[in-house]
Amino acid sequence: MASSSSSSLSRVVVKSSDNNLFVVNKKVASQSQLLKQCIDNMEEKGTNDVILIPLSNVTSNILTLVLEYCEKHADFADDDNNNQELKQWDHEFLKKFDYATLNSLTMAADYMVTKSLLNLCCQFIADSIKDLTVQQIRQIFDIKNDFTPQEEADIKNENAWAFR
Amino acid sequence: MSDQEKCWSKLPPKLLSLIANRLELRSDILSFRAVCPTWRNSAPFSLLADKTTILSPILPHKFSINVPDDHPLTPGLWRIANRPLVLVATSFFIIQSITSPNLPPWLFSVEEFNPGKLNLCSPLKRNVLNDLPKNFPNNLDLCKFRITKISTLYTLSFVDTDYDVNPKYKHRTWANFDKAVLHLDTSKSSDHTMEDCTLFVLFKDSSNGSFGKVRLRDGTFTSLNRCKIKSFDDVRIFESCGELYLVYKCPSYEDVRYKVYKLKDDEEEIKWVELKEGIGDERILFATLDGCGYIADFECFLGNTLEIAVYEFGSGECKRIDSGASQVLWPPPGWLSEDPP
Repeated sequence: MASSSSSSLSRVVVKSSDNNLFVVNKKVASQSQLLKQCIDNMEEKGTNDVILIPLSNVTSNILTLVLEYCEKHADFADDDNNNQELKQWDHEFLKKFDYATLNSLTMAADYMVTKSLLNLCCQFIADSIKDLTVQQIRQIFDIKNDFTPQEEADIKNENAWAFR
Repeated sequence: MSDQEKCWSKLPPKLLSLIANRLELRSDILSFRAVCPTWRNSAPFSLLADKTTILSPILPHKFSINVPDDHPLTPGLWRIANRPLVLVATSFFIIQSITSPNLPPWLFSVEEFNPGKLNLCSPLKRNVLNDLPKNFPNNLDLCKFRITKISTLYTLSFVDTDYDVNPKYKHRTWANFDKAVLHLDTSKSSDHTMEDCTLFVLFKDSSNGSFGKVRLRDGTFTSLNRCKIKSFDDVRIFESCGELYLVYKCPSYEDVRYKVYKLKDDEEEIKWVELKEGIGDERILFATLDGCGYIADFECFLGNTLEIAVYEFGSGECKRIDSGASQVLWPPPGWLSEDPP
């Protein structure tokens, strides 16, 4: 355990890249391995101040979403992972976002080392790719086709169905 | 975060490969690799190493139906039990020309009887088209067309023990199954492992239909005959959103043309419950000789009358649409083999 002088403070402050401050319960923050590591480090040093963690890569919009996820999962932290209500919540949670937000959320989950959120995002994206054509994927993810003619030829060989 | 960082082709390769690793189907991985160079490099060709099948990650699958000792062996069951069977996926696609999107689309089906090899089939019949028309391409380049999957159905064939060892194995019999209707229930898991698959089998037993389920993992058969099925020939079963449904084509003297039933399977009883209101407006049923599936997203149908016959459950009206229907099915359109300008 960390030194008793600092553990009396149950909240930490997280600062987004656009300089907004979020006061977060330690149990919620611990859902992110990055935040947990920062808290542990500070507490080891034995500081009595409020712990402030600046996140240079995450905007307040996205941080709000990550913290919403962490809060929900902290509530269920003592339950087993197979909780149906939580699974249902996870599913509904991601359905709300457009693909640009989903992109930023995935990046933030990776940066903040929130593994379950990262897995959730990746599975959600993989599920939305299933059964789509290449053109449809490019369209929904807004990606330009910038293959060279040689690469195009390789793809053509790879993506053909042989009938004879 | 800048706009450039939000671009999906700039997503770190580490994250892209996490996504690619979650794709199960060979075709999905190939599509992923064809999106852009960054995506391609994040999904190495080696991902395909254990994915030799195209239409389904677990089919074709060879098994036999094992009837428990205490189960009465009816004539119908006797015909199908303890013989090597192979469960094959047949998928229905609509293909459209990208360069000339106004040309009528073509509806076709392919089955994967041998892993990794597709056979072109005639969509409304069961037969494999062994003699492809001269203009049909040897290799259908999926990037050149807009292909939309409508539905996947499952068929059973008897095979010899040779099937496993010979990748070009051709011999099979499905006549014995007559008009058997089969469906794979994958509702319990999104992972589609064999462990979770139950196959619902409808087979002919004297003049009636017998209904049962087979646990694919070990072939164990369980009879569901408490829910009676008369006039086997006019029945199809299908699965939608985890529920099992039955469509019954009524005799011509009745007012109603089709009836839909839903399987009620709880601890107390198991029976077919008629749905007076049909299956809902957002779904289209797609029925063939072997079974039927439903189409949830039929955007591709708008503007194109592809239905051979449309039946409205609400009004009970059955409209047969013949115009253009035949050319949607046969012959394969010329633009399939043309190179785009």
